[in-house]
Formats: sequence, C-alpha cells, structure tokens
Amino acid sequence: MEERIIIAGSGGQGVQTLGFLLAEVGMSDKKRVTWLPSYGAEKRGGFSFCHVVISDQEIYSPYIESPDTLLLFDQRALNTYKDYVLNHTLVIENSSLIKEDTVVNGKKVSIPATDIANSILFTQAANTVMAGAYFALKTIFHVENALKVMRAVLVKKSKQIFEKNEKALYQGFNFIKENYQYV
Amino acid sequence: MLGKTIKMPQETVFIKGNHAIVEAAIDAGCRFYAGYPITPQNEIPEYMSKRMPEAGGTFIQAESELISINLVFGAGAAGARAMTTSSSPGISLMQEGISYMAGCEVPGVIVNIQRGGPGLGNIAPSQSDYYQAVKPGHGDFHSIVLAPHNIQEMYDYTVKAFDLADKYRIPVIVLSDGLLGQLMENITLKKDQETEYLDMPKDWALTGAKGRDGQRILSLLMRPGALEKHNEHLREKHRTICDNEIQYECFSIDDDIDCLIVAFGTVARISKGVINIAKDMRIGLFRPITLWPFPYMKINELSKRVKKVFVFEMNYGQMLDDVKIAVENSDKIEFYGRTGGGIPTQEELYQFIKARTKGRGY
Repeated sequence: MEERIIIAGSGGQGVQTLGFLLAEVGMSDKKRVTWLPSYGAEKRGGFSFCHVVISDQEIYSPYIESPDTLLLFDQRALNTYKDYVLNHTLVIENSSLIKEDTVVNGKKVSIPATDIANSILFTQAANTVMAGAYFALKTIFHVENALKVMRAVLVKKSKQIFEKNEKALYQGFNFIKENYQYV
Repeated sequence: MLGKTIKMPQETVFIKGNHAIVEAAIDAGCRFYAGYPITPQNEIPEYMSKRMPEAGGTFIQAESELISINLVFGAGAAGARAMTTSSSPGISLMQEGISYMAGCEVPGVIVNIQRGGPGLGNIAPSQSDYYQAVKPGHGDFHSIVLAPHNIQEMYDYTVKAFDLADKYRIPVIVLSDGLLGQLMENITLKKDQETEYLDMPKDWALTGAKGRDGQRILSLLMRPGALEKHNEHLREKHRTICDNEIQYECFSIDDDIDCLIVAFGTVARISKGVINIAKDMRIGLFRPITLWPFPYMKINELSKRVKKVFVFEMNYGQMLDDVKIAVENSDKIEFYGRTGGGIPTQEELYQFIKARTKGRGY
C-alpha cells in the first residue's frame, strides 16, 4: 500500500496542518510517512501546498508527480493542480471556494468545507472537514485514528477547539456518507 | 503543532530533517553550536536554541557565518564537540575557517542544507555545492563529506560526523539539501548509543597549561620545509581515511543489470523510485554516502558490468566528474541534471533512461 497525497490551498486554511494530521494518522497505523511542505516566502493568503506519502514500505520519492489523492481548498489550488489528475486520482474539492471546476479526469468529490466550518462557527476548521471527507472515502484509514491524533495534539491547547474540530471531522465524514454512497 | 517533534513509543519520532540534525548533535555529545540564520536551514538554529541549553551546552547566534565557523574553530581547539550549520551562500563565507581548521587539525562538524545558487540564488533544494564540499577552502586538504538521503540518515550521519571528526581531527561536512531539511519522516532515535570516539583523549586540545607545558594550535608554518612536512602528514591521514571510511549503498544491483544509476542524496531517493517503476528494465542504483572519500573503485568495478552508467544530480554535473574518473569507458556515461531549485521527477528520469537506451533498457 502506498498513498500519495497532495494538499493545496492558501496560507491560513490549514493546508500544512491537514498534511501533518494525515501523516500522523498513517504513523499511528504503523506506516512509514513523509510530509514535505512548501517553504517559499509564504504568508497568509499566499499559495500553500504539501506532499504526504503514507506507505507500508520504504518511501522513495517524497516529491509527488502522480497523486492518488488531491485535496483542493480553493480555485487557485485547482487551477494549479488540475493537470496532475490521473484517471485513478481521487479529487476532493472545497466547493465553497471553487466556482469553476475544470478537472476532467479522476474521481471527483465536492464538499462545501468552508460553509460547513462556518456553520459550526469555526471557519478555520475547513481543513478538518476536508479530513473527514478524506477518511470517509479512503477506508484504509479509520476516522477514529484521526480523532485520536487530534485529541493528543489539541486537547492540551484548548478543549473547546478540540470539540469544534471533532464536530467538523464528523460533519465532513457524514456529508460524504450521505451524498456519495458509490464513490 | 507544525514542525514540532512528537515522541512516539520505541523512540520512534516524526521529525523534520533539520530537527533530526539537532537531536543527532545533542545525542552525539555536541555541546557547542554557533550559527546564523538562512533559509532553508533556519529550523536548526531555532530548535538548537531550545535544545542546547537543555543539554547544558552553549548556543550562540553569531553576527555572521564567518564568526560562526571561527567560534566552532575555537571550541574545537579547546576540545569540545562543536557544530555550525548554514545553507549554500553561508557555507561559502565559511571556507576560510574550514581551511584553517583543516590546517590546524581541529575537528568540527559543518552542515550544509543546500539551496539554489550561484549568488543568493533561491531557497529551493539543490546539490550544486558538491565541488565546494569535496574540496573546500584553500590549500592541500580534504574534509570528509557525508551525504544522507533520508531523515534517518540525517540523524545517523550527523552522529557519525562527530565521531569521524574526532577520530581523524578533521572538519566533517554533512551535505544535505532544502528538501531533506524541510521533509518530515518517522525515524528511530538511538538515545542510548555510545558514540565510538566520544571519550577519546584530546591531549592536543588547548585546555590550559596547568601542570604541563604549553602547546599551540596553528596553521602558519613558516620554517623552511615545515609546511611541506605538515602537508605530507595530512596526505597520509587522507590516505588512511580513503582506505577505511568509504561508504555507499547498492540498491537493486544484481548480476543481470544493464544500467547503473549513480546518484546521491535526494536524487538517489528519487532514483530508487525510478527503479521501482521501471519494471521493464534491469537497473541498479549505486549511491555514494561518502562523497569524499569517493568510492571510485567500486564504481569502476560495477561500470564494467553494465552497458550504461547514468549520473543524476540536482546540478549541471559536478559528481559527474568523479564518476568520469572512476569509469574507464566514459562513452557509457549519460548525465541528466536539474539546477536552480528544479527537482527531477521519477517520470522525467525514467523517460530519460528510455530515450538514451532506445527503450531497450540499456
């Protein structure tokens, strides 16, 4: 098993944190993981991406050119990565911020992640909503493991933030379960 | 949360390359660090400023790279395990100090998290400091150069760098790049390991002359013939290192290979991926881990068994020169390099091999 994931969006949306979460979940499942951030002169609002590989074996290139999964947070991310989509690629799009969907290949899933996050009054949790969608679609990982990792990291910071993220995770997870039964 | 090291059971940690270097230095008994900020190695001094005081050592943010290397020179001369780190332009500024350390036979570890050059270049990963690493500074000397290709090795070879530095009283360079510096991976720390040469007596060190005659460490040898004699001594030391310390990895090399890839660091990792996808070809990877001393003999031996030798680098062909020295028939050699922060992809390298072998795999 090797899962190669590219996550892209804008600085401040939690792109790097989501990559970190997926890597941690892979690790908790005793997998090998790599997490490669973009590290240019990024700032809030600037283009941000990260490459995450989760594998049973030695990971060769941590740099991804043919992703198994693409998590796209906004229009710019989609425009940048639309040509990376292969027939087998799972594309999870944040439809709240993507108005012009030009992706032609791949298995596409749309979820209004930012709107869902806003509905629980925590717009920063859009990345956790996307994580919930991811775990609903990729059954190699358990959503409970994601919750465990989040608990370990977040509860120390703030119980309230953890609880909001927990809600966001399951809203993303359930949205997919309800709307995409056959992906 | 981001970039923080999280400890897991069995000493397995999910750690950034730059942080792994810090943990390795602390575990290897390094108690003196001096550095100056530069991307993409900034996580090293940042994290070191927390870890070094915890370990009871000295952390200094110097006013420049020149000061950093000379602080390490001084600490090393006093017998401490000392380290500095920087990225390409900063390492250029340290060349004089590295030469002085080599002349004075003062051990020390210098980590280069390479970025694109020349000049200020950019902050993307690169391997374009190969020439400068294998032959730094001025004068007749070498420093040992270790080239890790994953985060476990960033840790292991930084520990080893301190041992080699003390064993041979020589500056040791860990040559990595921005990709490995920024990359996070799960690795095993060896907190309880004994480094081989940690407690070796340093009777040459400047520790105060109480109870013994004074001694000096210097590289200025003006007496007729003195410098030549000293350089002969350094050459003997270099020969001993060449005889004993060459390290490399052979990946997927068996009796039937038609093609050999020679690559180090990040590109070696990507090359492993190429071999993994090129199921229709018989390719092996030879990965030098010590760039000096360079494994000429082993490459020479392997090159006789294959039809093509591919050299892949993130520069315009620097290690290529050493491979040319090693391979008798240089017509066999094909080079592909990216520069200025470009990272070759698996597919790109695979297509290059196919094109140069007319699809036959050799």
